[in-house]
Amino acid sequence: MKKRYPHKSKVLLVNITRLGDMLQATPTIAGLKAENPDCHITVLVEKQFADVCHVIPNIDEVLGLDLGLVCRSLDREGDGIVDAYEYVDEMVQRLRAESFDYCLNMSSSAYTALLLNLVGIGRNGGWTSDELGYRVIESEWAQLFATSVFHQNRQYNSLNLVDVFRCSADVEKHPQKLLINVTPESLSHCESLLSSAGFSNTGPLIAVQAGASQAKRQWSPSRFIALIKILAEQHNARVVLTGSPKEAAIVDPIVAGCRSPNVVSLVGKTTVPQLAAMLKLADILVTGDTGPMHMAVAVGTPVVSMFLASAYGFETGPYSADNIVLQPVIGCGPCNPNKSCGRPDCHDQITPELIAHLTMQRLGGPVLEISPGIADPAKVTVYRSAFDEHGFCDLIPINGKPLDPLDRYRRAYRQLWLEDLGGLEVASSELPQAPGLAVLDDGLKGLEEIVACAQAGQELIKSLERCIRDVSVPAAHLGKVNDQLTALDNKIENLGFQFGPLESLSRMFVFAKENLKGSDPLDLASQMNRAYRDLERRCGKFAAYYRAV
Amino acid sequence: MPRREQAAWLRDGLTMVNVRKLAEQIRHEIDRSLSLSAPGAGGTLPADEALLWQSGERDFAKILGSLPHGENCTAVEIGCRHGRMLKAASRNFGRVVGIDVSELAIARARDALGANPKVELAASHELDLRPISDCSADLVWSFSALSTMPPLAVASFLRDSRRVLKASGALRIQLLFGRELVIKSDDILHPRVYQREAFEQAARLAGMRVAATEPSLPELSSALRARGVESATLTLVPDGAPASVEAIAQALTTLSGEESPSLQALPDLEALSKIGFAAALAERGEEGRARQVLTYVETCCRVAAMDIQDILERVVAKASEVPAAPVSGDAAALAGNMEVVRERFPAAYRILSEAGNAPSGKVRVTGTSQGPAVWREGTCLDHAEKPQQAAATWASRALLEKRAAEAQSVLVVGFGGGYHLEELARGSRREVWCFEPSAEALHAALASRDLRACLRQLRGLSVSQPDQDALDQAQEILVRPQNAMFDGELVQPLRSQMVSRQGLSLLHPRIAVLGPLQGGTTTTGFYTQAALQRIGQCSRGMDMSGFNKGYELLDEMVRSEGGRAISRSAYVQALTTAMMQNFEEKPIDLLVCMAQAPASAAFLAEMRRRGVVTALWFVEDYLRFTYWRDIAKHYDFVFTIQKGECIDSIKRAGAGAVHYLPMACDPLLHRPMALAPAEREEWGSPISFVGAGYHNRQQMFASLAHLPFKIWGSEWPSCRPFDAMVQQNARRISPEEYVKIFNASAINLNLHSSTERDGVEPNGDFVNPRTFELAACGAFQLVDERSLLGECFTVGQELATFSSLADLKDKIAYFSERPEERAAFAARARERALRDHTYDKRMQQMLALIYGTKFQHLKARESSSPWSKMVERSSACPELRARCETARERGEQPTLDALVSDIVTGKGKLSETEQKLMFLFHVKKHILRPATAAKEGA
Repeated sequence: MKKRYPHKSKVLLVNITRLGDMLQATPTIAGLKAENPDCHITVLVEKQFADVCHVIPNIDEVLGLDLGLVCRSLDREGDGIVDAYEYVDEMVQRLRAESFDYCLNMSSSAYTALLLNLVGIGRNGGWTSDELGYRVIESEWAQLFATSVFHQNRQYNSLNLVDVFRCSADVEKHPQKLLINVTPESLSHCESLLSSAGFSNTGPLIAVQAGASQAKRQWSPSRFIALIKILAEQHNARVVLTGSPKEAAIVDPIVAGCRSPNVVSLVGKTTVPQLAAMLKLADILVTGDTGPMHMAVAVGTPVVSMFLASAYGFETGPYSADNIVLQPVIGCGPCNPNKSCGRPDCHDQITPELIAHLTMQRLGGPVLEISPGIADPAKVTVYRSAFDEHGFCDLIPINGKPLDPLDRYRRAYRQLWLEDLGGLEVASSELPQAPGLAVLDDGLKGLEEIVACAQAGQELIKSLERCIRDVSVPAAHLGKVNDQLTALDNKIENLGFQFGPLESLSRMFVFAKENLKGSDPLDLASQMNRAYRDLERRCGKFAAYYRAV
Repeated sequence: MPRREQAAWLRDGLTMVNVRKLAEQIRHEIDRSLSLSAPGAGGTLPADEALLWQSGERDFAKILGSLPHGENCTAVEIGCRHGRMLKAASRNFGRVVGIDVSELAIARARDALGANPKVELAASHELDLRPISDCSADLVWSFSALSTMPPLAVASFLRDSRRVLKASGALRIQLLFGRELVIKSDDILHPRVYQREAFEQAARLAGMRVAATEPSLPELSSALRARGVESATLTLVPDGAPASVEAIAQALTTLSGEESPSLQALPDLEALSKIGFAAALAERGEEGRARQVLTYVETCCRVAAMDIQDILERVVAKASEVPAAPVSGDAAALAGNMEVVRERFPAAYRILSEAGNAPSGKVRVTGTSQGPAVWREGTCLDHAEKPQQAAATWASRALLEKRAAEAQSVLVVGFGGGYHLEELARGSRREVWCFEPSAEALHAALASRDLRACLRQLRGLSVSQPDQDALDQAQEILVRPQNAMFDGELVQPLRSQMVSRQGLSLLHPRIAVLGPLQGGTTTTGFYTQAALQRIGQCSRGMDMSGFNKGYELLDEMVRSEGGRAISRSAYVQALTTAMMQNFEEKPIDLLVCMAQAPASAAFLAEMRRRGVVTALWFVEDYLRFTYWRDIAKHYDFVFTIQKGECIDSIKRAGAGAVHYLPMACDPLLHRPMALAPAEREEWGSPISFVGAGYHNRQQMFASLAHLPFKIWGSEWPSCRPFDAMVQQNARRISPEEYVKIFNASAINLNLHSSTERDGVEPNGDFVNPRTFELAACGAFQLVDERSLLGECFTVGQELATFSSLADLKDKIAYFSERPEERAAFAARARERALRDHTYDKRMQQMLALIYGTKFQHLKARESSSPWSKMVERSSACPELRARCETARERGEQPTLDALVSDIVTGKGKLSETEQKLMFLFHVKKHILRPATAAKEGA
């Protein structure tokens, strides 16, 4: 794989937000350690997660950013702002003193980008900002991340974000799973919890995570009750419901609805390390796209996970082999994470019976195929998680889903990025000599136009370079070329909006343009030329891969 | 987070290409100049090297002024040429960096300066200060280099100066200002004349503000001065983030006027420096060499149009000027001085005459090489050895203070030997008043040397007790340090007395100007608000006229009077609620209501309960509009346009304080205009009137129908004889339009309205706004007699009045035939209006009265505000502190949003403070706000 910064010695990894995100960073952290054995890795997380990070292997130091304090101070306004300002000032000084030589910001927030520019770390793998306050995303993999999570493009992406992150950090040698340390103390605490639970069943221990980060991603309690009843009553299962104290309002009605000694709530009874231990003791976890899902993956417990509403299995699915992922087939899904939903119809696409069936199947071993009669491919796609020959996580449909245009786009993009960004040899890399831009379907109609724009851009750059070199060319002429380039770029971006499946291409181009470096006009022109060349090349490859799928 | 557009990248890149090209051209030009080897040009050092360094010392002292310096400080010169000033700078700074576009200049400077560990030299290839790191310089200066460079180069250096300056640092530059601007793209180095506003805007875009302006370049050609060109040394301090070089350059050239051929021949860089050099030679008595240098200027520089001979004669005359011969003996000097005092300051004379009779022995005079020095009780009131030099330093430092620099009139406490007063008055039109507490010390000073010229320059002189006029008129008080020590107790009350007017600069109350729903005072409200802002107050206007439509619609919906009254009351109540909410969100300290503003008694009571000072400018006839009876008691201040019974009645109605404050004009709108023939045709007339058709006007003007008379305005009848006179269907005329009418008409009639009387109101007192507006337009007016008119204008000189219809007809006939006399009246009226009757003046008067009694209240309010706490808390970070102060001055609430409201991404490099604030802003936006919303939703 192409590496931007092969050697790193003092690494800052910024992962401010959630436990799940932190767990998803573990292959990257392990890879950084494996490839740079002497490197010192510091993780900057929100203070409330700092303790959790101590159970994550390969981290040398954890720094907590007290966003709670900042928010409380800001909420006071007035001199609270000065308090918050002073705290930020201290944090910047603290981080500067560490003299990091590389930073991977895994958070796409504006405030972390600004913070990192203030700290002034020279080499970056993720988002930061420049001195003018603009966002900067130097790494093409990080640009791909930004492209892929751009809502309109999500459905065309099939690369798990864990892989995109690790590639942003140039990591090749990575474990094909997430990592967390489970301590003997935690295990024994959980064993005693289980032994005092009073189960009458003797069958598999099934953990259920009913809560989710958003209401619309949370399967209804009645469905969970139906599911658990099947598991406990028909399959002799012992069921434990996990969750944080805040989730008691979701879990308690489920436990009450089940009315079974074999259904026990562990809400509020486990710390994060103890939850990891409990999930390790469990035989399987039934969940949505949640932090506990990633934790179960990290401790090696298989999961059956439902990706409801805005959750998208390809993006944040379980990062280990042989888990089961269910993605409802519905026109509005995956929906925009920033919008609420008053009628989550996608929940109806998955039945308690199906989950119960898949759970029991998976308890028996990896599930390679499911009858469409059990899981109707018109309603839900059931996937098995797996790793491809390059070590990238993937989802394989197992309920007889026919190949549709979305699948073809996903496959084509997957091959394009692995080959173009990763420098990897993909299966259908033997492309025809001619770019082959013939219209393949309606979604790709704009491809020829984009390529024409990319070629026109390269011509304009030649003209620009001539203007720059020739002292006698009046400034107005340079301005005219600039205007032409601007118009061209707007057209490329608009073509992306117009032809949705092509937007990943145009968005990558936009990111390339906004991340030009330096101030020397000739050098800037050369970088711009490269952006147009990349766009033209990628369009050609994409068309070829699409045809080959 | 915003993304950077390619256009911005390339635009910056292209600007850089242009900057580089320009740098090359400038380099070529400087090299050409240097290669001439002219005297004082830096080609080679002049024969008298000592003189060169001496001039460098002198000029650097001017540049340095009282700015901080020391061994730990860094100074940077833009355009150092052969390093004339660097040597002087190195005596004041630990590190001095000379930057020049020309490598040849740098090489010459290196030769001239020799080894000096404190001085570094660097060539600038891209018109920037590249060797200097960010926020590291205490002083960046340019003596004459920037003033001759093209705007793009100036912009580039300005922007980079902002980068290298510490938050506490300053940029000092000399520039030429004038109303006309000539910029030719093919010219490279020649002095540029900028419009002051344009430069100030450019400075703001460069992330700086002009903190002080001083006159400079005394040797500026009289020809240039006559063209309105003036030179100034500016002090710029960091204030905000810089925009792009392109934007700054654009601002410099934005306000350009027509190209003026006479200004194209401005002297070039060499010419200016040579003239200064010749002046120095002439002052030293080296007349021959001065002539040589000026001959060189005439022949070698591109200044053919300059009146070199004139300059030469002036310079030589100045050099050969013999100082006023000292009157021999103390007695003669005293007699001469006392004669002037007797003539000009009789009160002081009386006290001084007595003081001379009974000397206490506590005062003495000693001699120095620069003249006698006066001592009081063992302390020298001047410098004991160099009184002239020390006085010059004191004066220049005193005037570095913005308030002092901008004051047109200052009161100096302490006469000393008079040296500082001479310095203060030098080259300035500033009025200087002097108060000397010790009559004996002043007497001794008057006996020490010839001070007649100094005394004649003083606006006033008082002894023992300060002159009340001085306290009333002086805008700033300057206390000599020696007097502060001796007369501290006396000085303090003086300061207190000036507090009311100083409040204008010491206080930053948040002011709201509440306008009416409709009526003529709507525009008065706009003028008031604009004036408050112009005099530096944190004010915001609350224009309620948009709500008038709703008010009118109520009348369409409800027919009965009773029903309308209820509806209107409810409507005003709704507006009151909205205003309360607005003031909740954006609190104020002072509410200025215009007449008929929708401010109910309950609303005003609530405002006062919140500690807000309430004021009403009642610009109406108190007898015709009597609503003041119900609301006066809710105002701390009522300002009226009538005197006598009006003031007494409103006082009796319970108002806190009632003062007379007549109407005014806004010279930005009310001004003479050059109209095109078509406009003159449309708006002009031999006789015009603008105003509504009140009873007395209809009655009187009907008799003028035989004259070429146009009437403009609403509420006029459409019947004869008005159908021929009233213009444009009697529509309402906008202020912009009536200014055209005033300008286009030979005689403007101004008849104050009356709904009861015929013709001229015999007991009319107040002066209407039209009187001031016509005067400010430089338009001739015939106005009806009013009892208060004589206080505002000199009747018969500035204004012509009429007392009856017959009188009006006579005056029309008389003035119609005398255009010159009309013009003379109009010019005098305009001068008076601009001097005494602008809204700026009115607001100063209003606030002086308010601050005079509410100073402590407002100060306490300001001190206890969250902003004050924030300002105090942020003392460790000057930039944060400055942001807090600026936001407070804008009248913002103490919120993070207010602190970041002027941070614009992409408009230049964000400072660390700005980035930290933006960090907080994004945390608030993405974490705090959603969490709060979720909590509220739950």
